[in-house]
Amino acid sequence: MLNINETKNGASLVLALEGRLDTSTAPQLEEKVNGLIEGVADFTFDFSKLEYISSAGLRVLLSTQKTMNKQGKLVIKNVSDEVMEIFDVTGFSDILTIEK
Amino acid sequence: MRGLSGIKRNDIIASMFIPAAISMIFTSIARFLAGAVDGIITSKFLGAEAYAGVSLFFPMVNIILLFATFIAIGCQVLCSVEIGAGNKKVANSLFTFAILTGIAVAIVFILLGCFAPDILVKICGIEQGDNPEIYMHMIDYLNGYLLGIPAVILVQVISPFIIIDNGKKLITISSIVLFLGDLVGDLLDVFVFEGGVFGMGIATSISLWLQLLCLCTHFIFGSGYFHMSLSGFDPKFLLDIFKNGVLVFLRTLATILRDLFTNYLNLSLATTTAAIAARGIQNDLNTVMFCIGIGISNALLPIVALFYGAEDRQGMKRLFVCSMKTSATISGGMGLIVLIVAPLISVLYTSDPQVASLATFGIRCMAIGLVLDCLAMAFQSYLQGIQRLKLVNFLCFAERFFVPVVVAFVMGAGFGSKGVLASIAVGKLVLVIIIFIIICGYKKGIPSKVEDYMLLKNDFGAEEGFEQYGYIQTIDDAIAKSEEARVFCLNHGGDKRKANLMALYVEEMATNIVRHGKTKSRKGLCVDYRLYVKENRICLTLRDYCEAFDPTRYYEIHEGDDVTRNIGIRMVMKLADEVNYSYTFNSNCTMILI
Repeated sequence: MLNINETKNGASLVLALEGRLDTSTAPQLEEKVNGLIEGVADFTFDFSKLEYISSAGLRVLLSTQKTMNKQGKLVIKNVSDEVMEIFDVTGFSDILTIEK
Repeated sequence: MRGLSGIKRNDIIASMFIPAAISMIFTSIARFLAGAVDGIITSKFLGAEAYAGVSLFFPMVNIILLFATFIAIGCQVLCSVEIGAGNKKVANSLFTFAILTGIAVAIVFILLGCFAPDILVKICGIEQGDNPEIYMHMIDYLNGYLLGIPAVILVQVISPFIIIDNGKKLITISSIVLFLGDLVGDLLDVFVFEGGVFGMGIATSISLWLQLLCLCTHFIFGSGYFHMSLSGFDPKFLLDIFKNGVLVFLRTLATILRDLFTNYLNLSLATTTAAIAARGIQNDLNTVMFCIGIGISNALLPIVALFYGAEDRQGMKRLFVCSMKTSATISGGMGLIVLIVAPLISVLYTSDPQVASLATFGIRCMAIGLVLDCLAMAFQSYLQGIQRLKLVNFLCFAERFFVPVVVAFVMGAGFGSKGVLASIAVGKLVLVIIIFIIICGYKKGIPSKVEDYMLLKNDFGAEEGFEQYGYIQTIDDAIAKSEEARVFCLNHGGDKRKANLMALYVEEMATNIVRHGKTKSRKGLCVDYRLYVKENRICLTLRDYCEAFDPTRYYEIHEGDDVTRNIGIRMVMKLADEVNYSYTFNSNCTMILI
């Protein structure tokens, strides 16, 4: 299950994720992102309550990063050790901007 | 059978076993026919003494096959156990050892045949002085057969491994090649080359080499599981190889003793020639029907050993039920057909009404006992797979020797010729009753569940509560099992990190199979999922019946690709402590340990 809490302030958007970002919940996140990303220059994911991420979740982050590369910046904050390990092993820590 | 999502699915274990069993039954029949060809053509075209020479040499052929089968079965069982446990290196070492030993045995027999042929002929019971003409025919056949000895041994040795390595169709094709090659060769010998008995031996040798070449294409063109390597071989295996292989000797010894004693009984109790002839016809048909039990047993043994090596109690139970149902169904169907056509079969053999009548009775008795016969054989094969070797040895002797002999004696004494003929069915019933009594002894009561018949040791497999089973057919199933795996790990000593990783492995590997797995039909794609604790490690196995896909090899090839590709497999291969993969019996099995 994935809960998404959004905070939008002008061109700044924060999405706080809670739960699992897996194959079944990734479409939910993708839909949310696609619905909000237009006009966003400062996009932040808050992973403080994200317990788990799989390849499906990484693909959503990747497509979001590609979009934000054209219109602003994307930062991922408060990444847990388990999720950080996934980013390191997959090489995504070099693609994404991560603030611990 | 319906899975989690209500979709009808093919049981993976049935998909592993049933096609293998049908293929092995057909192969056994083809091999039997190939053996019969030499005798029929020799008898028809070369004369009675030539046939006597060839047929008297058959015990030596059986002795050569005995040594080859000893090596093959001994190594095959252990190999399957090691594959089930994920030890590919050890499995390959057993494969290599079997081939090298087979070559050594072949060299010994060739040397004996070249430099001491008298010894081989004497073992068959003939000395030159007894009957010079038959002796010469045997020597002629031996000289022709010498060429084929390496082939016949290597065929016996590598066939069980090819069965494990998804080559059952090739085994059947090679048996057909043997039969056709032998038939054509024999006819050419008789009508074109006029090579006599020596030519018959050459024809057999050439057909054996053709069979071997056919089988070798598996190793040349396939990207199979086995390759030559002795690293991983432990001399401790020799004892287990011997224990598993010695059953072959016991079976043969018991069969020889049974034939000797029943011949004696026939002569002393069956007072008419008609009864002896009828018994011979019954034996002939029994030999053909025996192919059903042999085929099922040959298919069952390595699969049982595989699940035994994996310590998979649930898998073993499904296999046990499937094999018994399959044995009963196939043998029951064949038995019914034989029961109905028994009079026609008798008429094929003889026009003597007395012989035909007794033969019909004898064939019908054999048909009635067929189901019990196949079940008993399948059960023994199962016991060998789970390494209950003392029990198997006892049952083997009971089945092949003392039950048929004792029952034939008692029924012959009470009912004469018909009693001896009926003893084939009654003997099978007695054997099944003995098996039931043994199971009652182990259970210390009447067995009421399938598990009671399986005779698995109490400490086999994971403890209750330390194992999780399931089936995955959809993405939703995969996600559900992923979460269950996470909870299982937390409850069995895993920290949060390990629990998350195991959940990841389940999700990534299972969704890959569901999305990309190729079956002959998309209906019924199903992944067997098992999570268990093994020696303080948590182990995940995923088994599917799709086309071969080796994730470890795929990762090796694509490791240097763009990081945004193959993310799932990359995560699993880099994070898992140990990943083992095998493609055997047409099923992919991935084992991940943390």
